[in-house]
Amino acid sequence: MTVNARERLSAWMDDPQADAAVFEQLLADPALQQQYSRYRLVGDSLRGELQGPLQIDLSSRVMAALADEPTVLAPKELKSSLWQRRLQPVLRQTGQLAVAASVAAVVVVGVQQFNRQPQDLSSPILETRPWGGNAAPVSMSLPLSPSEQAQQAAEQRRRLQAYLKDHQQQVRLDVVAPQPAAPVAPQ
Amino acid sequence: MLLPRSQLRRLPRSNGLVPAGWPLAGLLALLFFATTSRADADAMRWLERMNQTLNQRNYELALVVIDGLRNEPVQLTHGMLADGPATLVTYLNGPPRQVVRFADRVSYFDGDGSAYSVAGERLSGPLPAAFWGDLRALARNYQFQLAGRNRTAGRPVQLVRVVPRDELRYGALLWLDEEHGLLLRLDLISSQGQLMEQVQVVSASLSEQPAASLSALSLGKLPTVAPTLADGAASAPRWRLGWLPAGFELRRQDRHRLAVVDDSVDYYLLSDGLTELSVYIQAEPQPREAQQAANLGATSIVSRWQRGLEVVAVGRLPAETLARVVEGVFTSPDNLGSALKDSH
Repeated sequence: MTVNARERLSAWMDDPQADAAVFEQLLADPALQQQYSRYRLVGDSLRGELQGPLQIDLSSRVMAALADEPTVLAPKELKSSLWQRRLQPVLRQTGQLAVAASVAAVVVVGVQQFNRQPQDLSSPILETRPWGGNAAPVSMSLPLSPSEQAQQAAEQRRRLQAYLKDHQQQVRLDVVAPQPAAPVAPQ
Repeated sequence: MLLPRSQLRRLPRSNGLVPAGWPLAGLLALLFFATTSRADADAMRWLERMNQTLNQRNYELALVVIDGLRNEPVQLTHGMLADGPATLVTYLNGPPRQVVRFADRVSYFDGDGSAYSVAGERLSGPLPAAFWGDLRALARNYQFQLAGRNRTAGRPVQLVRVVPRDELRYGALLWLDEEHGLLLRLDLISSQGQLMEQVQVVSASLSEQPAASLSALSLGKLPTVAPTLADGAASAPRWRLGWLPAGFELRRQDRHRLAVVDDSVDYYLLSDGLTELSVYIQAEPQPREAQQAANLGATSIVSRWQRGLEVVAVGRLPAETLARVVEGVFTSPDNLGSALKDSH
């Protein structure tokens, strides 16, 4: 489903008279139908028109996402030419991976609680705080796989979380407003 | 800074507008540029209205930050007190978290009982601080276009597009109240037209008097300003950032310790006026994951380890852009030699 198709669907939902061809397309395209139901759900939730608690069964999708994951024994170094080809599909899968990753994030938090050791922060710029107050799920490009791979991935995830937290912290410390015309002098 | 500016700008510059001997085409081109530049000026005027309202009026916004994984409701209150402007941001879900801008400082209450203040007036909250600041800083790397009228939060709005000059960063669509220019919705959009993050105001109210919650603020209740490394320990540059997206300028560099990573890292904070980019560089002899990338809403993170050097870039930018920044550190001469020296 192209971006264009999504945009047309969205426009059609706002004004069904304008583009009748979308309706035919909608009848024919299951992917578009799912998109339509998601748009409806978003719209209903924004307007507060949802009836009762949401009944979404995520388990089948988590299972499916995990089943689709190839088992990679060691992530390979990416050459820059491969980079775009590899990264872009991965980022598109974010929606599916996010569900699996949030499960993993719970595991990460658990591991952190379990393994917490006093750390000597001899020169902290300011102790960093959790991203957004809670350990928010991070969708990863790393394939999830069982056993020690998962443990290694969890460690990597923990490191990335630390960088995300620190970035948020550093942005807060950037208190001087940018000047309109002061390019940094080349060295 | 780290490179001559000529190398930072890789985009081709446009040549002359009018080929000789094509008077009609020239006239049309002139007309086109005249109208677009006037439209740009109109868009700029809308942004200035927004800027004035955000900075100078008493208002209260209830908004939701939607980034694909989380919906976070936030209350933002701004008022003109006798001592100057004050802002209060309250995150409504989870442990109570607040950000207060009052008098000479911005205070962060982080929900786990900890709190600290930073000297200054730039508040890091649910909306880009750039919208409160000098818009000329924004105009250097982004163009502004009017994008029609619409309706949101029950109000008629004027749409203004903030268009980056390249595809290396996200653009934005601003929904501004037609009456006073208050920001009612913000869409962060990738160059492929994908919605990366959205801030939707659900209710907005302006008032003559500042809200009672602001009047109750007093300096005595706010934490004292924390000392930071920026107050003196900034280090000399050790690494060269070989490639940066045009317009990103160094805001700060230092060497500090991360909470989880054991060693201290060399740190660079860069900004293009709207968004920030963090680069972490560390000599790391132990092999790490060769390359990985992740994203959280519009925020991406890319890390790479190669021959004893680990480089991590974080920012609200496309991961492809961050990957090029990281790549630039490795391909820049001197860096790898310096890393080897460090590890022996």
